[in-house]
Amino acid sequence: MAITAPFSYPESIKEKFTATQGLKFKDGSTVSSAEIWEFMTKEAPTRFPYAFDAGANNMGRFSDDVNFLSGIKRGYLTLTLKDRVMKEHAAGTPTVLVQGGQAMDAYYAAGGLPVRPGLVMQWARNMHEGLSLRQSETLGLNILESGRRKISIDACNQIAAHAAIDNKVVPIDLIAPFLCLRCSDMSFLVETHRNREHDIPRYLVDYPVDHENKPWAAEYIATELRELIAKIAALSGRTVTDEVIFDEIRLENRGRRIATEIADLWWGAENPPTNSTDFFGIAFLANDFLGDPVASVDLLEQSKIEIEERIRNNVRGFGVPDHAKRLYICGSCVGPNAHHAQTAGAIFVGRDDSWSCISVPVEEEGDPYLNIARSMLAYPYEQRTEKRAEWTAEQVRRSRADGVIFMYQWGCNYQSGVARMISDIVKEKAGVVTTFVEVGELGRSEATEQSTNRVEAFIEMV
Amino acid sequence: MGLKTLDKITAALESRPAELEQLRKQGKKIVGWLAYNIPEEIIYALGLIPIRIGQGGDGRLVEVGARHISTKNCVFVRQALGQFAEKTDPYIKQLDLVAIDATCIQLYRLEELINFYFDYKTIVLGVPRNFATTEGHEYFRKEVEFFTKKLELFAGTALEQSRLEEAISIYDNIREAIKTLYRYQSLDNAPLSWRQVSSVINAGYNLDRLTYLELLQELIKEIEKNLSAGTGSREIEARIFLSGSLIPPGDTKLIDIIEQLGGRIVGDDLWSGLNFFLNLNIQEPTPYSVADAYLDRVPHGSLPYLDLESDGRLANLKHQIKEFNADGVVYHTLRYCDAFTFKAGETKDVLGNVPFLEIHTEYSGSDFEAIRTRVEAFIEMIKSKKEIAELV
Amino acid sequence: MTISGNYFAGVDVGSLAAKSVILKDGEIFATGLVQSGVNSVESGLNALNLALETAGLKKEDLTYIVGTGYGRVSAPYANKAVTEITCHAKGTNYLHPTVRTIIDMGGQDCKAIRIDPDGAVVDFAMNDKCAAGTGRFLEVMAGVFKVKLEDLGSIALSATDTVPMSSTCTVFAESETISLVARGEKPENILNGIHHSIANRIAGLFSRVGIESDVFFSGGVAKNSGMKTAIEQALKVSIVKPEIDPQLIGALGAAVIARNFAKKEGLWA
Repeated sequence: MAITAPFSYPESIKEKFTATQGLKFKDGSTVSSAEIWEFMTKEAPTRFPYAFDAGANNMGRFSDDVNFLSGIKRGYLTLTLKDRVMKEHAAGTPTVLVQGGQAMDAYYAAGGLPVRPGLVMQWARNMHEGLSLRQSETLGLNILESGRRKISIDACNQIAAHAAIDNKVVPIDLIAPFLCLRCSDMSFLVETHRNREHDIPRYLVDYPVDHENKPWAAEYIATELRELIAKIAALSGRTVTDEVIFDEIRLENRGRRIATEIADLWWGAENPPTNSTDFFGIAFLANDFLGDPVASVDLLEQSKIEIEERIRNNVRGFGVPDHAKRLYICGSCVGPNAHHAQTAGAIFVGRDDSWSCISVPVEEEGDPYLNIARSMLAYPYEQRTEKRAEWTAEQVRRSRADGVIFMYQWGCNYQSGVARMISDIVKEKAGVVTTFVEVGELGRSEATEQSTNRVEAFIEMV
Repeated sequence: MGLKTLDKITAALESRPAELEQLRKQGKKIVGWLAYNIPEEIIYALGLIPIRIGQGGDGRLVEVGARHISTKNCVFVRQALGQFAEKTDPYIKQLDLVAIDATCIQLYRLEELINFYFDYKTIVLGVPRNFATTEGHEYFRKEVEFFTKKLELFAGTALEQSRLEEAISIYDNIREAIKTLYRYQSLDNAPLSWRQVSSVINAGYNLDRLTYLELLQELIKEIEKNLSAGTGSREIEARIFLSGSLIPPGDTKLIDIIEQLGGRIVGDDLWSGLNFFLNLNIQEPTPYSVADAYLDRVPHGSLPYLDLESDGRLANLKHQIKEFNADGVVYHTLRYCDAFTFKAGETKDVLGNVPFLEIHTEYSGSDFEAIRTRVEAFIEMIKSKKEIAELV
Repeated sequence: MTISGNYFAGVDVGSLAAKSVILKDGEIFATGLVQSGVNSVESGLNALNLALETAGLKKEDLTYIVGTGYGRVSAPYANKAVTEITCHAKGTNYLHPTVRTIIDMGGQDCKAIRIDPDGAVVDFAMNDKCAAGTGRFLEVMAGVFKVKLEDLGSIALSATDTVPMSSTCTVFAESETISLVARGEKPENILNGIHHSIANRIAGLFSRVGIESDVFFSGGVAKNSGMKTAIEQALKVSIVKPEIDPQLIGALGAAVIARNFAKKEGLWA
């Protein structure tokens, strides 16, 4: 196997980078860009060498666009997640397992730290430092297999996160996700924790189906949110008033708003101002917040300024091919490898999962519980499939995509069930070619040739 | 065993599709429904004809259905989709409306697909995952009320309390009759088999409910008249209890294998079997009361429950195993039926020393021998245990 | 020649091999092992005849024959058929009475079996409809790497690294393997990964039935040293050394059961 030199940020950009502002955090602390640089060039490559694996197969590979400085800061937030979570946990902040793609307002407002399954696994793998990509993969795989052994190989790879919690690889204080419709496995996997030696409390915020024009659906969720926040607050010790919740809502809304503005700017630009990795990172930040909404929103503001400047100067993102084929990605949790796609001549211009999350702000007045409930119910991704597909078609038009790839993970009964219907509707309404691909790769970087082949063939076809 | 009423039930079934055709010509409407929490009493009380749908065991229909969903979905859902795609089934092709509840989320997806691809008129009944809470009950009451309003619009008539009361009475009696039949089939000198009771349940999917109740009562009378005393065969038998994912009409692979190998099925806690008829106590003839009663039954495995000790479905399972004097449990799970598959290990733990065999399968015949070996080894194990126990 | 003593035979017809064991009273007298053909009746008879030849006996000299394995459903030469789960239990107990847990990996399935001190099965679990944990999977891999099946284990043990593999399906795993080879991964490292992946499937079965020492590994795959090592690591156990070819355990158990049936039916001379 060809050995590639590890990825590193070149000295040549250091001066420019360290002249920019650093990041603010929710506890009032700050980190300077010089400190970020030090971490990303000296400390992190030693502690987390896997993240600096420059092989094209590395799904978590850093963006090659090193001059997009916000991207480096996003890498910083990602790699410092473990340290920040552990520090907060030690200081009494309860860590809470949530779903990917749900609203986080309630959790942060109550003084909790929500962590989605993908980040639980990243955290779990980072508990062992100094690992190469293969070593880190193997560690993740062992956790995945331990979960499968106890439950079933029919489960989505998300089972690894549950196994990491069960095996106490990471300390989780409360298991309390929303039961969004996007995930077929979450409710049953949370249920499996009842037959374990650990006694981590569990709670499910139900998400009603077919909820259009049904005020009682929002009322149901709102009642559950009160219960959820009370449970988290009991652990965090925070007094949660409506105003406290609205503060959090306003902060996260700012993030959502900035991300959607960036998306509109990016889509409207003649030249894509960033590559796919950096673009997708923005939407992800505005939904997940990587453990710190203050830092994430700060970074989103900085990202917007950089992108505006690039658009003004007609700068194309590094690595974006000439006449790049524009692909819109559907499905959650898994996605095609952006580096491979770039080499094959394509760029990813949007993702229905992430864009859905950032497209719905929470009302900032009235009953905060009801408002969060209504916003969740309004996520385009969570509507009846026909409606979700129509919204996706609209996204495809706005992003000027040439084709759509719908990717889903083995064991996901939801995405697999709707892939065909959504592809058919998008094909008809947006007039673009579509394909759907099943993969077994969630959480893995090795042996992804099967899906790479299909994606590359599709790109050639577009 | 020669129960004449069983022949009458078969005959009634044979003429039912033609009967439905006539009724439709007279302006009657047929509502096909799935799966566990649809309040059939309300459909019936509105003068609509309820037909419970859903079959299994047909690998070809599974393939047809998979084209519109994926091969990674439950085979029951895929086959249903295949039936709606082909529209050759005498009941499916006569449905004027399809009502699906969201107890199982994959079945909810089925509703979307048959609505989109095959132009069926559909309505959905939401079901709370937090079914044991006050807010869950509140939500479900509103859902059933809304569901009723949609049905009223469809039926062109309002729900009358007296009609609902009548319907509840009929269905209560049907439930009692089925429970009685289950008791009889588990006796040592049983007048009918579990399999025959299962086919009686399946007949109830399609027959006119009043006719069905009359036939059930006739069947029970016939059984009671001919009930003989005696303890049955001296031969050691393996009394098997079925649990897990549903076993709908048409899915006979596992049942055939168990019986061919000399095992005797004596009970089940399937949502397609006995559980459906248990613990349903509608207090008043109102949609809210119907909603409460449905939610308070033996819970469906697709609705998550976070505390092991107080889990009603498991408590019922343990109780039924004792009631039916079962020697072992065959826990049958369908591929991609996560609700029951993920709980296989836990169920085994909960049942402790009760012999437990998990069969994870789908509707193709390619694993027939593999299942045979597992079931045969299980029966050998049970019989050998009983032999040793008798000697001691 | 006068034949004295009682002779009992077990015939185990599997997907890859047919095996036979003849007991004289209570001792192993002869064995036979042949490759299975497409006709399982013939395969069973071939294995039986080989054992008879070695023993210098004729079929009529046998007091009782029990058939097992997938071929048991068509074994007209047998007095009775018993599943290989029960037979593996009895066979293991006969040779190793301290064993309480059996791992059996055959051609097309794998089993986790718990037994009591008398060799009765108290619990078992088998793989689901999938070949990712079976002898067939290893046969496919031997084909991919163009090596002999019996060499797979030692090749895997010579690995300097383990390529992580987690396919839930043989066909996917084969594609995964081919891709890895194309990327220049060393065959021994891939094979090591495959052995560990299979061991994970086995470990899954044991999460259902639990493990108690002593532990025995039966079936043809037990002769694969790499598989033995991977399973010992995955389950954190030590596997006892088999007294005979572990592929013969099923047939041995069938012969022991034949002896028991014969006694019960009053057929002992």
